[in-house]
Amino acid sequence: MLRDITLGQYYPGTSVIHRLDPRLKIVGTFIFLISLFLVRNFIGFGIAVGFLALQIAISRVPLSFIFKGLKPVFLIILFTVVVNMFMTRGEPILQWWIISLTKEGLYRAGFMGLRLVLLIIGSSLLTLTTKPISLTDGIEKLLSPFRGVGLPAHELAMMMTIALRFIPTLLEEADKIMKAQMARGADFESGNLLQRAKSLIPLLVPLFISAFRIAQDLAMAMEARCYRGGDARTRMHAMTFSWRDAVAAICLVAFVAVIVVQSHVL
Amino acid sequence: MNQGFSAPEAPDEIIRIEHMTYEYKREGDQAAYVAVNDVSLSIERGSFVAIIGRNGSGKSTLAKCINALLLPASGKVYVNGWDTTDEARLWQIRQTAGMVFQNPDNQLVSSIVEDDVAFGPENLGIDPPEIRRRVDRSLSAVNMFEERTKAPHLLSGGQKQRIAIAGVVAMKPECIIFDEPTAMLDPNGRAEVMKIIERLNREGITILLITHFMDEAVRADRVVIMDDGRIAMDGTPEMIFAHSDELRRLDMTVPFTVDLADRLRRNDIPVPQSTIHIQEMVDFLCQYKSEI
Amino acid sequence: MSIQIRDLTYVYSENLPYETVALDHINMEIRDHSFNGIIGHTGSGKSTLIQHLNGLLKPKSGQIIVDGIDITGSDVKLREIRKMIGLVFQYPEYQLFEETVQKDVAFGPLNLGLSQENVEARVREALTLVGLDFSELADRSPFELSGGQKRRVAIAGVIAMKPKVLVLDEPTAGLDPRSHRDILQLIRNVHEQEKNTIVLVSHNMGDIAALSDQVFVMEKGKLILSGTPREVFANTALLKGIGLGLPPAAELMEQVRQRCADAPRDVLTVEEAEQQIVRWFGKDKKC
Repeated sequence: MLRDITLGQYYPGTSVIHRLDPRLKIVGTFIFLISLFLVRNFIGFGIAVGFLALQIAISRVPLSFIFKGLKPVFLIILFTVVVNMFMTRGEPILQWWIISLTKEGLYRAGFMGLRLVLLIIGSSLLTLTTKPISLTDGIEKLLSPFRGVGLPAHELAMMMTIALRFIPTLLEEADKIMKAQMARGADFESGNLLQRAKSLIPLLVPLFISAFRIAQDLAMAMEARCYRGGDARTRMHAMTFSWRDAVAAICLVAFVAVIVVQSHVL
Repeated sequence: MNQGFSAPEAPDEIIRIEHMTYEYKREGDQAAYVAVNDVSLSIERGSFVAIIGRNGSGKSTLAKCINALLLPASGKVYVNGWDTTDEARLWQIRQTAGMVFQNPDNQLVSSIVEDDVAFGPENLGIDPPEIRRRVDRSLSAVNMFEERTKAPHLLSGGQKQRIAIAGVVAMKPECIIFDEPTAMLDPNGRAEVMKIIERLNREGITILLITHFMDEAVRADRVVIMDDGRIAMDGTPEMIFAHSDELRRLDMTVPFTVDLADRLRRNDIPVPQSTIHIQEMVDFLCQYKSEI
Repeated sequence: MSIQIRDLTYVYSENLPYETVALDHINMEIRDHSFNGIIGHTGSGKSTLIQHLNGLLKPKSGQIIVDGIDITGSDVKLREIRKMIGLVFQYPEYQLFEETVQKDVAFGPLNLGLSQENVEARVREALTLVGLDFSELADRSPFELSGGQKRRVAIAGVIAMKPKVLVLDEPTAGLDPRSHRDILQLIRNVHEQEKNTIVLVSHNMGDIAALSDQVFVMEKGKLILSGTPREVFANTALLKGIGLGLPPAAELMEQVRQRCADAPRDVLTVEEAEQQIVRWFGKDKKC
């Protein structure tokens, strides 16, 4: 049931992509996503697809895994494609009743659909090749310069770490409570909206209590293990920017340069 | 890092509790609830002490006072000679006397086993290469090295509890306080965890084990029974379990072997008072049979 | 109320790489008004099995026939099943949610569609049956109670539905020795007074041996042994082979027998151990 949901899907591996500095990967992913909006034509997309395909190949994450990430957003992609296909005015190719398929529509639909797919695959490659924990570490490091202006970088990262750790636990807990209440005759599935909302109380109250209990236990356990915030804390996985990262950064810059030149200069 | 030197008053004791009292103020209640009442206790370095007692007898509160998670209302608690109210020593105290809690789920911080084990050493500000070494060594010590990159929620209760132990071991404690570590485990998980606890003790770590299982308590060198915030009995398992009537009065279960020994003695079968382990009973029965 | 389980099979995550057969052609017969113990490792299929008993899980194949009705059939009303079979999960106190003890215990009976007075009578009766004082606790918040009390309230919540079969999944987990004894006594009392059938899942072989009429042993989704405690615990090698223990008395006598072949067998409880050893030593004539 609820337990089957996996979050922060990570595909374990030891490829170069996996081993890149998470800071670079986070920033790099953002740059890649932005560059997709600079693309003006299909040749540009061809280059982007090639660049992404190269990364996937290096990362050795199976394609089936990559495409799995598209499943939950499949409807959104389909919707975008269909809307663009039929709602764009221009030279009609096919016409049936009030629906007309235009050349421009086809072009736009392909364009938008491809961009969306690239956006999703590009960002899922980040989570697939980066351990959630490295991701939070990277975010912490990237945000730490802003600590001076009151941004609690360490605390935010710690919260994310704990959330990642406890989401599966809470889902399991929710599953258990739900079954226990169903055994007592609770009905979560029928009735109108109000009745359904009310029927959730026997699930939500114990779940909140569990969450509080976990928080309390965890806080105590963390304190017992000498946790005192981010200061004076070291990390086992020290983040070092190596030659590998430098090469990756150069590749990325080159890619962006090609995109800009191809779309805006040529 | 800063393993500061201090002159402990008595070199052979790692924990000394002097007339300690701890009170809870519950909301709405006028009177404070005394969880631990004027307890004095000294724990010898390297020993294995089991603390038993019914729920609400003050065992857990006592344990949390040793780790300085709670501070006594009156009296003193010393760890390695350091007063737990001395804030300057707080981190040394917690590093010296580590704690493992009951719920295997609620004490693991990270979604990756090895990162969780690293959490304590990271908090102590230890150098990354040294953390790596400690993490690997502690995971091997609890037989969980193979699982180092897994997510805790996919492991069994016993495995999670062993990771929690590794997380404390990686901080190089001199003493580990276990607060009912096996209460939520199945028999296999319990056996795994008890094996690790005994091994750690053999390697020189002082063990304080709070438990409800008498078969775990008989494995200690010393058993302390708490009742109503006070120490009701204190002695070797042989001494404690010889007083089965007193144990029953304190709502404790008598270990099976002790129960049977009592019954046999009532039938004029002279089972020695020191018989608390099943093996000793087997030895006695076979020997006695051969004599009659 | 009797339950017949025929060829019950359940598969987790079917057609996925981590597909596992959680229940593999289980055949069981639970007799009316009997006390049944289920033992097995975590992950042996015990929990999956008991969740089938009241329709929380639907089998891939097979039938569960309760008093002649196949509850796995599609036309069976879940409410009817839950009226017949009550399920107390592990750590049931974590499912408490109401403001007062009374309201929480009333949750199940109200879901059965009973009248208000009827429900109140049942709540009163259930709380008394689990050894709690109705007048003292009815209007208190369940969250203020001690751990042992909370668990009793949670059990009362299921008992108040007056199930003909009461299934309990490790009802003594995590309790201190006193609460452990109290909960077992409570289950005995319920069994006697309600004249219902009990299914108890436990890791404590001593408890299972002392309480059950019938013991079922599960391993890797299969039912590998069943019979009276005496029959089941006589299979020492098999039980040890899968890493399940014996009741302490049986374990002791087993070890004695390895050294003195004439030592008594078939010993399950401390009382039996006492009698048998006394007889073995020829001490009984003196008394």
